[in-house]
Amino acid sequence: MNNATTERVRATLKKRYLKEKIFRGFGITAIAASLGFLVLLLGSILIKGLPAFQATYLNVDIELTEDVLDISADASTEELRGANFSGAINQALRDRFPEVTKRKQRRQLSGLVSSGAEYALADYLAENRDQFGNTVNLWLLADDEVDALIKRNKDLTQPIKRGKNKNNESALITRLSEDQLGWLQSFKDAGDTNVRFSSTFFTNGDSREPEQAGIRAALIGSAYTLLITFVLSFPIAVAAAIYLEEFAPQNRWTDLVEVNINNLAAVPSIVFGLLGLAIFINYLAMPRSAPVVGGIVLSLMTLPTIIISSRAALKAVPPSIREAARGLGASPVQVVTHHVLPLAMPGILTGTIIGLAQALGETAPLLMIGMVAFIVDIPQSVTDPSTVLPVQVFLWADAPERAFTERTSGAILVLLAFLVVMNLTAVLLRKKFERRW
Amino acid sequence: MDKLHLDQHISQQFNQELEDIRNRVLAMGGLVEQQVSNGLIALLENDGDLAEQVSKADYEVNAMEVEIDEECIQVLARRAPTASDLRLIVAVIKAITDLERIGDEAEKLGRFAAELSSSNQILEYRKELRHLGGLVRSMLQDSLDCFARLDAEAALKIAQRDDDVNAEYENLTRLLTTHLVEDPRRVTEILKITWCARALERIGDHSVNICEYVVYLVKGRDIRHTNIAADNHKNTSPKNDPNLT
Amino acid sequence: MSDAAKEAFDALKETVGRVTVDDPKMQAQNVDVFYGDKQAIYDVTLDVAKNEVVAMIGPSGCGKSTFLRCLNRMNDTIPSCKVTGDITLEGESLYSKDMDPVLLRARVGMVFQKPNPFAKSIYDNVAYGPKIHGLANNRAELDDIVESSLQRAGLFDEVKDRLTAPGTSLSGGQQQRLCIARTIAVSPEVILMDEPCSALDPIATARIEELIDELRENYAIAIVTHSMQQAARVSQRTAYFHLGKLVEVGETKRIFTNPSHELTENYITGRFG
Repeated sequence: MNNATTERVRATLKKRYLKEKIFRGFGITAIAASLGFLVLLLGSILIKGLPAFQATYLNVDIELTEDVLDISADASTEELRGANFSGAINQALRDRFPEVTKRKQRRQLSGLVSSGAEYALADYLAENRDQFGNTVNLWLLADDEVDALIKRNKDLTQPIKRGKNKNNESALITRLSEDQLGWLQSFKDAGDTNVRFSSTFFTNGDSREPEQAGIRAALIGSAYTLLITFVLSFPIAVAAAIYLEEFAPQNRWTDLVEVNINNLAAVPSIVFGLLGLAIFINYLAMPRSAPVVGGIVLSLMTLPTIIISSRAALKAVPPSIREAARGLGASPVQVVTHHVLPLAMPGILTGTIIGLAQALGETAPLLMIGMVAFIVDIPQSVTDPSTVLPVQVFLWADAPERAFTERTSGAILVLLAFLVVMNLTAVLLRKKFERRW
Repeated sequence: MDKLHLDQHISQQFNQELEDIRNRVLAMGGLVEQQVSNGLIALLENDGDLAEQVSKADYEVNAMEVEIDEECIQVLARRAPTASDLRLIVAVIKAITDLERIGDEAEKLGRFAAELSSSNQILEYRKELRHLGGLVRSMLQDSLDCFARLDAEAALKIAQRDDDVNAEYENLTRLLTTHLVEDPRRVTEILKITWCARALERIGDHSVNICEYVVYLVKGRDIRHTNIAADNHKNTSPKNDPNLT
Repeated sequence: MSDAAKEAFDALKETVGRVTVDDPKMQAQNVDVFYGDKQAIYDVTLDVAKNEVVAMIGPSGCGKSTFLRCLNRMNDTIPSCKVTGDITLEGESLYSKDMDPVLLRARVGMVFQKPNPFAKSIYDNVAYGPKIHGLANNRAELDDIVESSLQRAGLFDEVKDRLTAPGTSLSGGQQQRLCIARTIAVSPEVILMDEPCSALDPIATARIEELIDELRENYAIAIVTHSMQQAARVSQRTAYFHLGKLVEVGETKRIFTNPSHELTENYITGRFG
């Protein structure tokens, strides 16, 4: 290179490097922005959702006597179920605040404790029959309003935010009356309130009462639905991909099939829901709201994704391997099963899990087949009515009670955890099957 | 395939190397021819100075042989020549050996010419020597010429002319032997003249060799130690020869 | 192509030199190959003899690989590929209905340009062929086949301590010898080699060439190569292909010193052709 050339090149260098810097700057900005949004999103969900895993409990002394419970000491287990546990709880609260006499006040007083507390008491007595006739000290689940208030506020003596206190920053936002606040304060002063981890969120199904609502039913529903989706879509998709990639002749028909598969991948998911509703429920009379139908619909939706990624994985297997096997006299099926498929497996599994993750987050088609119902019972089989996590999120987000906000975020957290676990599985499976030799 | 197409290699450098070798061989041939010619003149004209010059110039021929040899080895090592290129290199390596020998014979002629220049004995055999020398010189000339033109047909014909040379040489030897018997006192001079004749005859043989290399180079067939006439009788294009595969 | 060469090519009606041998293993007669409308090979007749290496040389796209692949029907998978003429193995026609391609490929093995060991262990690579063809009755027999194949491929001493290591952990030359071992494990009658050394360094190449020469004792070998020197070194006969035609066939020792056809001459001496 002569000097003139060197000079000319040198003159352009600065500009070139500047361009590179600008480009890199754009990239970093984009990544930073998306990371920022992610942190913001996760942070807000975490802040809102973490309280969902905790619940407020009130410490109460309860008399478990024949009089209060309205059953005899030698009652059978069935009779015990029918005992007047709510009466016992109300009695205990009234004993604690003897000054309460008015009916309205009494109702407000019993409203401090969750309506589910009596079931907890029933379970307790069923396990501890020897406590019958004694007065026991128990932590009872508080009502959602109480729960919200205790979790959020330390000082209960502030005025309530309504009427003239509208603009007072430290005023309490609550539906509780001033009487109730007073009783709560006395509980608090006595050290009889406690906020601690509660498994309710994971063990209960849905409920109208936020403090009793859990995601168990939705979680099991999601698991069943995904299981059906996997069992249906994986073999069909892999078989289709292998056929199209390894055996199908290249002609107009296979082109048509290919175009259609690609189109299906882009069809809005609600269309699959409508299809499921029309064919599986209306025509084939399959059970409504059941994971089996949801699974079928979702596998229809997932199939194209898995087929496309499986074909890509099969295509990525070097043709030299196929040639080598064929050259040794392996039959076409042997070539595929012995050599091509094992090499393509990591890619196929990754595609499958991405497809399943998509299915896990899907709501729209499930709404169409009735999986949006209010399901309290934990589904026992794939034909039981159930709901799934994203639909549960959708339902709770819609609910009026303020305490459902934290449940919604909590459910989202569980859903995200589910997704992370699935993706982690994908990575691990790929690591395990990947043979870079 | 009468030409070597030395300008058609994809590698221009290879073209140049082969062309260079060929030119050097032709130059060497020219030099050798000159040496033979001068040696012969010196012998026939009793020219002591020219004879001296011939025997001194031989080192040039030797140097050329070494140079061409080196170049051929380079081509063999670096280009791995095949087919006609390979045959060209092989023919060149062999031809320059023969040319060098011819150079030696010319030097010998020069040496004896110098030694004989003081004696008149040579004049008696001038006619025979001139005749023999003329035959040999034209043979050498023609064989170099057909090497330059890659003319295998001509080469075969030239090779056959060696018979005339041999006949003439035997004739001369007979004369010299008779002379020797008649006049044993001249034995030294007679012997020297015999050696001169012998040198000329050898030059003829070397020319035949060069012709054979030309045939090998062009036709790809080794005709050494065969009956050239019989061989020439067959058509020599391997294309039409089914036994060659 | 120079005018003279073009003329010579157009004038080429039939292959120069003797295309048949006295004791053929495979015979191709008047083979034409088409890819769709495009003809890749024109009327090629060539024998592959027993215990002989026949080398096929020629510029890229001359059809030598295509022809080689016809010899064990590897072209079958290309739907547009059509082969006419007759190719026989020990007198049995390759493209007849009675010939099963799977069986054929067990009899006519193939080694490819790029070493392509399976994603399996060294042992399994060699054992794969015998396994799928059911050549071994038990594990001990299989072990014997694997060992002797590796021995014959000259690889056993290098890998005997790590038979369970992946085949791809070997060097390029070792991989190619593994591929050869894998091919001979099936005891084929003919071995086809498609530029087996083009991805190897000179020392690995020399080993493979030595191996090819040893294998000649037991197999008929057809090799396609871009390296003329390799053809000259390993083969007994050489066939020169040009634009789909078989231009010249002859003993290697003659082809490389004195080819008959101008096109052959041009190719092997590196002239414009």
